[in-house]
Amino acid sequence: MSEKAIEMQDNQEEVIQEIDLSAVDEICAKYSGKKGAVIPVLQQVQEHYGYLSREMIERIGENLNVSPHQLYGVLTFYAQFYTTPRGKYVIRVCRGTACHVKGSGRISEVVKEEFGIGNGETSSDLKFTLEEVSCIGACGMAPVIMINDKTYGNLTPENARAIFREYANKEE
Amino acid sequence: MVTVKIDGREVQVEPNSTILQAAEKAGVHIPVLCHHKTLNPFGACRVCLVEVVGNPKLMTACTTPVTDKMEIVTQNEKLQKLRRTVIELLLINHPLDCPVCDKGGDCMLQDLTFEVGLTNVRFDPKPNDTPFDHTNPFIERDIDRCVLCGKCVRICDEVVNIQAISFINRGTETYIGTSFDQPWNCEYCGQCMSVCPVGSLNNRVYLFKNRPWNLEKTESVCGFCSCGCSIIVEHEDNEVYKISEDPDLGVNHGFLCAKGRFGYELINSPEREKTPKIKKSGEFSESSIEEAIEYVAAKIGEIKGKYGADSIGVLVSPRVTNEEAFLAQKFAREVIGSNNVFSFETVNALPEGTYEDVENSDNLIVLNIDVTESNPVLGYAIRRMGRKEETTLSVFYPKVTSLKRVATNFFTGKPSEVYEKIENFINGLKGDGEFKDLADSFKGAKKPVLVYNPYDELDLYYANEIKTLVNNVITVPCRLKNNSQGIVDMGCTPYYKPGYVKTEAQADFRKVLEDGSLRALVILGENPLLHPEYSDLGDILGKLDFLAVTDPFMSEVAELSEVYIPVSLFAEKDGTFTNFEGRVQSLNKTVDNGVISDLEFLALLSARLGVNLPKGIDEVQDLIRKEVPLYNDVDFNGGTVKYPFVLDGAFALKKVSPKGKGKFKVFPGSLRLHSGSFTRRSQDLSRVYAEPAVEINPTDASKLNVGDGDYIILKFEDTTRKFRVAVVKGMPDGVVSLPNDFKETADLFHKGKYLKVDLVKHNG
Ligand code: SF4
Ligand code: SF4
Ligand code: SF4
Ligand code: FES
Ligand code: FES
Repeated sequence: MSEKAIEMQDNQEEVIQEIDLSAVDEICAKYSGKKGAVIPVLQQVQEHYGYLSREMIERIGENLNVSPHQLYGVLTFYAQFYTTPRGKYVIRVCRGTACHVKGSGRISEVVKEEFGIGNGETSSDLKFTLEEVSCIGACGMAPVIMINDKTYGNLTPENARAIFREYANKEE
Repeated sequence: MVTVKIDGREVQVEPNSTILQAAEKAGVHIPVLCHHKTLNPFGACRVCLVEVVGNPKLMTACTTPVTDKMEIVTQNEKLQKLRRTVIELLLINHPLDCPVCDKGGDCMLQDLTFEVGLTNVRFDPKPNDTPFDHTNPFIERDIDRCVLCGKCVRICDEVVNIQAISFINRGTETYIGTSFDQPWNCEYCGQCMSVCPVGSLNNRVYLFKNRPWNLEKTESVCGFCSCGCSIIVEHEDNEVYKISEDPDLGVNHGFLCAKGRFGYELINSPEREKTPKIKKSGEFSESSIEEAIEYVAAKIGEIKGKYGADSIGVLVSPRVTNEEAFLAQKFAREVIGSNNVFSFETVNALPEGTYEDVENSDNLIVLNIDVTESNPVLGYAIRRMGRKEETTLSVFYPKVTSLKRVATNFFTGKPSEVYEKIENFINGLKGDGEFKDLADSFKGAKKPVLVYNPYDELDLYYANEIKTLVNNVITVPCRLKNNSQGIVDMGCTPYYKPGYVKTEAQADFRKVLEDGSLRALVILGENPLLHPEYSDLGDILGKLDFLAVTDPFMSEVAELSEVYIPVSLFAEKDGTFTNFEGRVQSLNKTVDNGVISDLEFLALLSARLGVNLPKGIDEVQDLIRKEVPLYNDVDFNGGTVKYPFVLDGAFALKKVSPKGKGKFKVFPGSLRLHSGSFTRRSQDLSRVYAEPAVEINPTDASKLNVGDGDYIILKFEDTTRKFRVAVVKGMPDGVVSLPNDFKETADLFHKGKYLKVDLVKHNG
């Protein structure tokens, strides 16, 4: 191979779009040398990125001197951690008894009709995630949903659809 | 001591013992499943439930500590019923596919089912349809058979510290797996498999080759590295089927490495030669042993007659036993009358520290050696030491190694930078500089230990400095091969007769070859062509008046010989090896492949030359005790030798100066799976690591546009060679490693240990 060919290859460096993992390092740095760092670090990294990817887990492992496999064991043990990106708006549809009786199943269907996502799934534009949950303690207003921190009660498929569309049309 | 009563038997035990330990001492059997004596108490399976008198709750014997006057009942109707239920519940989560399970007959769950008298399962077992996982090259995984005892996860964490597997999910969804269900990549030590009580993790090298009750088990010592692990050779009809372990034997607590556990198929390798060969007009033709010995004797006699005894030499490999090494030097010195007995082992550093010293050290330095690769089981001891809260473990090495996870300090960089740091540490020991704190803590330690590479002159120099500056430091020279230590003890060096008695005539191997004074050479198992330092001597060796080589395989140097004699491997002979601690341990012949041993070869040859050397193993050992004072009162089953010196002190400070020109610095890497010669004959090891690879970090790899497994062209001076790429994190920028004891690499490193090379992507 000629010298020239070599040079050309050097320049052909591929630029791969990667998520900036520096926040992982910063979060881990706060806990360096401390015991019991795993759960708070996982929580904070998830808070920052919205979920925990394989790369993030590996980076946390390097920082905390724990293998990614152990970390994965921990994060799959707790329901609070997610390994895929979450939507900007997390729609929690209550599937508790009261809401079920009042037709919350239909509300989940509306979400599917509007955004094409089932329970646990996230829309491809990363805007919505559907999560079916058990009683959220507002049975008086059944059927109930939450979108992020906001609660909506006494829903019908129609007004639920209107609420979803409102979120869908929100400016970024 | 506290006193407890178990099933009416009184016994005295240490205050913190568990009920299980107390029962063992009292000779009372309590069934267990998730308990393993080398692991921390876990208490998951509840098979070991017992009654403590006065306590309404049943207790798990494996986790509950005894208290004084405790009274324990392990057998009554209630407990029996309960144990039966516990096992029955386990069996719901375990398919009853014993006829097609490789573990059948060697399975704790089968044995427990029998023990509790369970003959019928009342519940429908769960489905058994998850496919086997074959992503690990040595271990088959069937998660349906897993009883979630956690022993695999725990041993991989507590002992191996790789943490390659974990409990995934929770509740009924739990299984043993890897992060994001990635392929199961790890150190392949097989520890997890060795403790799995059921057929969930199975040995792929052994899989469906035999049944456990057919196999005879013989204790022996591993024939690969100088860790000296005790092994159990499982064999039938002169074939080795499996290597297993026994936590109660030897130094290794039942832990082994990938080579020791899975590399044994080289014993059964179809590449093994069975018949001696004599080369006539350039072609080998088969001969009988008698004919071959006759031929060698005649040649040696002739050359000795013409050129004198000093024209003849013997080169001994660290693979041979102490008995063989002893006879080899006796053959040279007494039968031939020449002091030309060579080996490539170092004579400047001798053993001092033991496994126990390492594990009990409070401050340990690993000086420029990738010890978890070169000496894996010593590596486990260092990891256990490093994991303890109050200890300090510091590692100096160019790249980040798997010790990083447990190390307090890890110093990496270009080889020259690593040496600068070592130098600074030495300055710290002398009282100043940036490493003063670490140096002070090392000096002030109760049991400071230094683990180093005795084959490198510069490392010897620094080890000696540290030994001089820190009076209570205990040094651990990491010899490489199974009997690297023993052959020097036995005097296979021109510098010392057996037991480090200085000689007068001290020929140098290279010199006597180059100046032509050596005319005939007998090589026992060694292969100079794979030693960087001697890799250039092929031409001279090929042109000797006479070259005879013994080796289990037709090696590169055997090809050059006039007489080649196939000999036996470690599982095929009796004798002893001396490990890196200076511990002498006995191996036992388990199989016979129809070839002679080096011992027999030497005895036959000497007899033919008119001297009768002993050839029974006991006779040779008696002679060793008589003639090697060091071994005089050492127990050949695990005793350690007391050495006359630790470091002989004659070391010069020579700065690292990489040879060649180029953008990348190369240092020789160590491999857990291979030593380059012998181990490559194992198909199983070679399937995983087939050829030497250039390790490079992800940034440099992407700059060169190469990925893991691609090929790369390495240019060193006038040589251009193609190698595989292994992308590893933790390698410094601009630095790569390459193993130096492979036939593809040894000659590259002939000019120096460190090289400067150019790397370009290989296209096509
Ligand atoms: S083979 Fe060794 S390193 Fe791999 S998972 Fe098992 S115990 Fe861990
Ligand atoms: S794979 Fe074997 S050792 Fe590991 S948890 Fe399952 S049964 Fe226990
Ligand atoms: S560490 Fe060495 S002696 Fe032990 S099993 Fe591995 S190769 Fe054999
Ligand atoms: S059941 Fe839906 S809020 Fe209680
Ligand atoms: S052996 Fe005691 S709980 Fe498993």
